[in-house]
Amino acid sequence: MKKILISAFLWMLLVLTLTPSSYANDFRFDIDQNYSSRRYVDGVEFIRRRGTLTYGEEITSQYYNYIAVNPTTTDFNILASDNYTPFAWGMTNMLGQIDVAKQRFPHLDIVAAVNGDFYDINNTGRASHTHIVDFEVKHKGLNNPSGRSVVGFKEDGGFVFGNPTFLGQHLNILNEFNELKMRMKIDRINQLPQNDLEIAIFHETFISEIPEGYDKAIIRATDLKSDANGNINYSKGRIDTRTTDAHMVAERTFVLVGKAFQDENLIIEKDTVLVQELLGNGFENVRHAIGAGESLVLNGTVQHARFRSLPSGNMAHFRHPRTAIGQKSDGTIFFLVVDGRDAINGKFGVKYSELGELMKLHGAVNAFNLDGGGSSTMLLRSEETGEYDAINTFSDGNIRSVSNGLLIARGTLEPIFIEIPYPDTRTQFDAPTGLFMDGEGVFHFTGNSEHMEYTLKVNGRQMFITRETLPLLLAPGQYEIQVRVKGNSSFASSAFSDTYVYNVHPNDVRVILDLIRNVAKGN
Amino acid sequence: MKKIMLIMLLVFALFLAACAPTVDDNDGDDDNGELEPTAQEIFEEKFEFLVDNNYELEIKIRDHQTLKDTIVMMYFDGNVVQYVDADYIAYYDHSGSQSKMYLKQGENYAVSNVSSGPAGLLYYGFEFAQFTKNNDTSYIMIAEQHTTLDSFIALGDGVSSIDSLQIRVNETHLTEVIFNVVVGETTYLITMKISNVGQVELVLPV
Repeated sequence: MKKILISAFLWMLLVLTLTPSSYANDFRFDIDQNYSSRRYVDGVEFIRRRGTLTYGEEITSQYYNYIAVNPTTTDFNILASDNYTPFAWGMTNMLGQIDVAKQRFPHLDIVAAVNGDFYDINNTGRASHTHIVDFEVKHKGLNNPSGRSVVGFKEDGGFVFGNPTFLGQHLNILNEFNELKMRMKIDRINQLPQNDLEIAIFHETFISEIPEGYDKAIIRATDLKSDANGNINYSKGRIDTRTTDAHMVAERTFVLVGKAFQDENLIIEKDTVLVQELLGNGFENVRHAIGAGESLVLNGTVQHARFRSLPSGNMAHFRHPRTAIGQKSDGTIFFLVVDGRDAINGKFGVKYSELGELMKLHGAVNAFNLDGGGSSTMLLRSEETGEYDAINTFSDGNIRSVSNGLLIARGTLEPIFIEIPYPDTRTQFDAPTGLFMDGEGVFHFTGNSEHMEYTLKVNGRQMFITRETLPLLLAPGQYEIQVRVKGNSSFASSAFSDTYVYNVHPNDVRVILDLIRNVAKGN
Repeated sequence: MKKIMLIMLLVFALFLAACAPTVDDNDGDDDNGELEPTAQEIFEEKFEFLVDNNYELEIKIRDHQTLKDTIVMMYFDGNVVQYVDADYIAYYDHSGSQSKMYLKQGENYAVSNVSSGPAGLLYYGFEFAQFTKNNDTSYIMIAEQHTTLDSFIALGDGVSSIDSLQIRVNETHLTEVIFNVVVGETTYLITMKISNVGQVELVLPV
């Protein structure tokens, strides 16, 4: 009898072990073919689906949209976006964030956008967790990120997720070309250095005088960002003065203190001083990152056990509009936005478990929940109009201002934060020559065929380019155009080329000038 | 009464004598016996520099609505013409049987053939009869004469008419040609300013 019982127990154990979660087995999505479609928009895969989602005992009608690119094999990039104002945070809808990103990255072609992290919606607009734009860690993230993650992107398109470790505040000195001249760990905050090797930062929160005798670099801040506790973890600015006199930290300044600042060449007027957290745990070289919510899929497994462990009142168990990001095994990154809060029109929204299954259905090996509800936004640029169309249905009835987001943008990322020697002993590249505009409005120059990375300057505005021939679509006006070769770890950036002055005439004026030129030609 | 009539006759005779032109004015003889140039000759003299075709020309196009100016330069040296619009520079060489264009492209010039024909801006064909004299330094084109510029307009694509043309001269040559050009619905004021007559030296790019 004992043997029979043991056998029965082992048999039951085996059955239980081999049987996957009944929830997973019960998931099904029946597509309404009349509504659903799949196509490519400017290289972005776009799927629109309506159908019936069955999960366990529950059957709901669902609408969702999906966009995907592979940043590891194409020239698509995923960028973090925001519209934070200097010395504050802020909230702007994704259309506004696209506009800001176009200013930041004029050489990139932004095709699509989704909303990002949860945020302080009622007050500052500060994102809940880490926020990194172009290597700048504007928000280092939460010390205790229970139930939260960070999703980040490296320069090569590689996807990083999890939670970063914090390796301390670091001073980054960037030269005028955004090359990293020096990185030093900040040893003390609002405390004097304890020896000649240590450096310290004093913020405006320090209300006493920094005593005389210490070498001080007083930095005029262009931006300061505080966390929820008022700690300034992101300080950016340019040098104002150097002194050893006693000094009170003025508003919108910060002071670097230490023997290192005796060196008057360490920080010069053209340099940018950036003090920010150095992140670890895979986030060391992340170029763009935002905070995310719960993991939905990890290593191909939908996180049902985790969802079930959440309290019954947790939002995971209720149907809402949702935004999620997923990574496929081939490096493809995709976003899903599920409509919700509109059951009358068949838009029920999904629970975490259903969203996780949908992400897995589309091939996610790793997936994360982003902010949802009224924040859920998916924009895709129309090939016909060039405008960014909302492709999901906003549950608020209109597009909501959010803290940050993620953009799909095409183009080559500008190399920045490249470590260079200090003192800079690199040989300078030769400046480009032979600038001219041809009759078709195509700009040409002769650069460096072995290092085709350039900064194009048009009327003072700079743009990263990787070609020596490119069409310039310019409105009527006069343009002063210069180019220089960007530096790398071995060669310093060239000087700017001679200026090429180019007039773009209004159509009527061009007609008159063509008439005059025709005469000169002898027609 | 007779006396009064005689006095009146004398006064009238004196008046007539005072108003009568001098001999010089009538026949053009000066004190040395040389002929004064006629108004037509004076007019034509101002265009004689065009035979040598060596001068600098500033072309200013003003949009009447926005008051914005566009300025380009042309330099003429015999059969060679240079067109300069900021850093856009082109030479036109009409010395051979085949006219050529040299277009600056960076450090070099791209050479191409251009169709050749009777070159000359609109003022090359101006005649005395087309104008009325405004004062010693300016002439105004007679309104009906503007149609004589149609062949010039035809060289362009989009210019519908030219009006209000006047020219200015100095002691030796034409200095300015000013006129309105209508393109579509918009009128532009064109000012062509001639200077450095005989001073331009153009060397074709190698």
